[in-house]
Amino acid sequence: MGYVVLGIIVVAVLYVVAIYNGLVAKKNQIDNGFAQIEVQLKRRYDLIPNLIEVAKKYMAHERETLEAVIAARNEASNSLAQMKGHSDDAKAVSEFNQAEQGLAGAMSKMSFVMEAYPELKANENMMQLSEELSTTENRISYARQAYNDFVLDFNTYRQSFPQNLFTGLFGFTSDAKMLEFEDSPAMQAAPKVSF
Amino acid sequence: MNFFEQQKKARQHTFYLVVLFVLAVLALIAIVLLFLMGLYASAIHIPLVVFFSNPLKYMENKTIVEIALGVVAFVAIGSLYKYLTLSSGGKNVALGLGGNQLNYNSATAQERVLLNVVEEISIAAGISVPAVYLLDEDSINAFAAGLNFDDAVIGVTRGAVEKLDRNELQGVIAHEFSHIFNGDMRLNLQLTALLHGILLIGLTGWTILRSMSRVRISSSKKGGGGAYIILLAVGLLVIGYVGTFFGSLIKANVSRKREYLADATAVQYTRYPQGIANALKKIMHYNSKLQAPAAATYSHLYFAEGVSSFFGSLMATHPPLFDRIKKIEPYWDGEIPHYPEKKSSVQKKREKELKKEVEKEKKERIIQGAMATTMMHVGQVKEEEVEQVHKEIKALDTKILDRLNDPLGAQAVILSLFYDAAYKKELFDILQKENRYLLLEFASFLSESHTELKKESALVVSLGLNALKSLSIQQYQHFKAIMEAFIGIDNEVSLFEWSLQYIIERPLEIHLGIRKVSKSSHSHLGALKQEVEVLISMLIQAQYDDEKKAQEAFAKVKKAMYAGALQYCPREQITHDLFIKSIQAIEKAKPGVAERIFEGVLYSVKIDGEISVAENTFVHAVAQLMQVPLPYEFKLEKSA
Repeated sequence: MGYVVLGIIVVAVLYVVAIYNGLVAKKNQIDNGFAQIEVQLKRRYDLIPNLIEVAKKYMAHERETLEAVIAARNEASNSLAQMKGHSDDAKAVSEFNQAEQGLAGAMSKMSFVMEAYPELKANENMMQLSEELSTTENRISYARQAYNDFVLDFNTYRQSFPQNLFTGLFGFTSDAKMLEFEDSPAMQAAPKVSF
Repeated sequence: MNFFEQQKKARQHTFYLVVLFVLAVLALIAIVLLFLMGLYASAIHIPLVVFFSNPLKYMENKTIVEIALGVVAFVAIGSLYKYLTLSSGGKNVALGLGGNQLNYNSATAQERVLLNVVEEISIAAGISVPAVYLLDEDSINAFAAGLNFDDAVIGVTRGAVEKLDRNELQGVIAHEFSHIFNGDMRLNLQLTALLHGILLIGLTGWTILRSMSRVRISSSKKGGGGAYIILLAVGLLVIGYVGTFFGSLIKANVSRKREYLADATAVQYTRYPQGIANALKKIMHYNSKLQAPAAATYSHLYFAEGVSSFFGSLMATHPPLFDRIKKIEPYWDGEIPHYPEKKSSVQKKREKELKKEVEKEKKERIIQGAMATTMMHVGQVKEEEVEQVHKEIKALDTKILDRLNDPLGAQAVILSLFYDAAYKKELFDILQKENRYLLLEFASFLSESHTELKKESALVVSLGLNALKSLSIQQYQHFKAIMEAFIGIDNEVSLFEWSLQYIIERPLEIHLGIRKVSKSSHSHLGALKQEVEVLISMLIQAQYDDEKKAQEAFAKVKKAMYAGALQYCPREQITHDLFIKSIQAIEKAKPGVAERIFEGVLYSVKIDGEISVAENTFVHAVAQLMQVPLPYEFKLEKSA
C-alpha cells in the first residue's frame, strides 16, 4: 500500500514539473516570436536604401518621393531602436506604430509612382529587390501571426485545468498580450477614392 | 474553413486509427499464437475443441508464454530491421529522388522565390529553415522528409516552381511544413516498420513452402510430418499476408487523415485558403505523378499522389483532390480555371539534350585530355609563401573576389579566362542558349573592364574552386560543357587552355567523386621515353620558332635531365591526340620518375629565360597531374 501512495506522489510531482516546464517553454516561445518580428523589420529597413539606390537612376524626377521614403524609413528604424527593451511602454509602441504607418504610406506612394517607369520595373536588380521586399513583408506578417499563435497557445494552456491551479504558484499570473494594430479603425474603413 | 477545429478532428481520427492499428497487430500476434497451439494439438492427435476447452491441461503455462514472447520478438525484429533501414536522413530521401540542393547564391530568380517562400513559412511555423531540394520533374508535387526538425528537408518539383504562383507555392510549402511539424514522417515510418514485422510472418510461411516444394521432389512421401509443416507454412502465409493487407488499409487511412491535417495546418500558417486550394486545382489540371525510379518508396511523403496505388482509393496515401479542395473551400462548385499551356523547361531541356549529344562526340577528344588523376594540394607551405599569397589575393579587385565566392560568379570569372573577344557573338550565343543567368553575370563581369586576369589565372582558379565545389554533378557537367565550348570555339586547344581546363576540372571531379585516382605504374623513365620526348619537344617549340634553335635547346634539357637517350620530336609529328596520350601515360609515373620528368619540364619552360602565362599555368597542371610539389617561384605568382 505504501508503495502505491509513493508512486502516486512521484507521478503527481513529475506532472507538476511538466506543467512548470511547459509554461516556461511556451513563454519563451513568445519572447522568441517577438524577437523574430524585430529581425524581419530590420531586414526591411536594410533593404529600402538599396531599393532607392536602384530607383534613383531611373526616377531622377521623383526625388521628393524617394527622399520621403528614406526619411520615413529612418524614423521607423529609430523608433524601433527606442522601443527595444521597452515593449511595454505604451508611448514608445504608439510612436513606433506611427512611424511604421508613415513608412508604409511613403512606400505605397513610391510604388504608385514607379508604375510610370516601365524600364525601372523591368530592371533585373529592381525585380530582385521587389521580390526581396515582398518576401520581407510576408515574413513580417508571418512573424506577427506566429507571435499571436504562440500567445494563443500559451494563454489557452495557462487557463486550462489543471494548469490554472499552479499558475499563481509559478508566477504566470497574467495572459500574454496579442499584437494589435493601432490603426484598426482605419483599416476597417473603406478606402477613399477620389479623382 | 475553421482550421483549428479541422486540425483537432484530424488529430483525433488519426489517434483512433493508430489505436486500431496497434490493436490489430496485437490481435494478429494472438491469432498466430492460437494457430501454433492448434497445430500442436492436431500433431498430438487431440481434437481442437477438446484442446482449446482447457489448453493448460496439455501445455504448460510457461510454454504458452514462451511461444507468445517468441512471436512478439519475431515481429519486433522484423519491425526494427525495417525501421533502421528506412530511417535514413531526409537528405538521402531527397537525393534518392534525384533532387539537387538549392543554394541562394546560384539560384535562378524563380528558385529564389521558392527559397524565400520556404523561409517565410518557417517563420510562420516557428521551425528552423530546412534544406530545399529541387526535383527535375515536370509535374506539380513536393515532399518533406526527415525524422526530426533538424534533419528535415523539403523537395519541390521544377513543375511546381514554374507553374504555381507565389500564393500557391506558399500553400504547398506550408503543407509540407505541417508534415514536419506534426511528425508525420516518423508516424508513417513506425507504422511501416510494424507492418513489415507482420509481413515477416507471411514471408516465413512463403519461405518454408518454397523449400518444402524442393525437398518433396527428392523424398516423395515421408509420413505425416511433412503435412504439418505445409499446414504451418500455409497458415503463416495466410495470416501474414491477410494481416499485412488489413494493416496497410489502416495505414493508408492514417496517411489520408494526416493529409487533411496538413492542409488545415497549411491554412493556419498562411491564413490564405485560396493559395493551397488553387495549387490543388492546378494539380487536377496538370498532374502530380513523379518519374523518379524511387518515387514509389516515398509515396506517403508527397503533397499529392506521386504514384498510383494498386487498390485505387482503398490504399491511396492521399485523399482525392476533389475532397481536399472541398474541405478547404466548402462552397467550391467543382470548376477548374483554364490554365494556359506552356512548354516547361524540363521538356525544353530534354530536346536540347538530344541536340547536345551530337556535339558532345566532337568534344569527347578534348575531355580525354582531362582524364588524369590524384589529389589536389601538392607541396609544403612555408610561412613566407602564405604571406605572398595573401598579398596576391589582396591585390585582386574586391569585385572579383566577391564573384569568386559565389558559384555563379566564379563560373563567370573562370569563363572570362577562356574568353576571346574575336568570337564575342558566338560565345554570347552559347551562354544565351545554355544558361541565361550565367550570361548576365558574365556580361556584367566583362563590362566592369578589369585588368588582364589571365596572368593571375592560377590564383583565380584556386580561389574560384571553393565556390564551384558547391555545384551539383549535373550543374558541374553543364558548366564543363560551356567551358569546353569556349575552349573549342577557335577549333584549337592552346597549351594555356588545356592547362587551365585541367587545373579546374581535376580537383572538382575528384571532389564530386566522378574521377578516380589511377594507380601509378611506370617506375623508370625508359617506359615513358616517347611520351617525355613529345612533351619536352612541344614545350620547346612553343618558345622557339626556329627548328634548329629548338633542337639545341632540346639537347640542353636532355643534359640537364641526365637522359641522353631522349630524341627530339619534330614539330609536324606532334598532334593534339599525341599530346593527350602522352599526358595520360606520364600521369602514371611513379614518384621518383615523376620528379625527374617535372625537373625536365621546369627546365624547358625556363630555357628562353622567361615564363609565359601559358607556361606558368601548364607547370601548375603538370604539378597536379604528377603530384609533385610546385617550386616557390611558380606558386600562384604573377608571371612576367
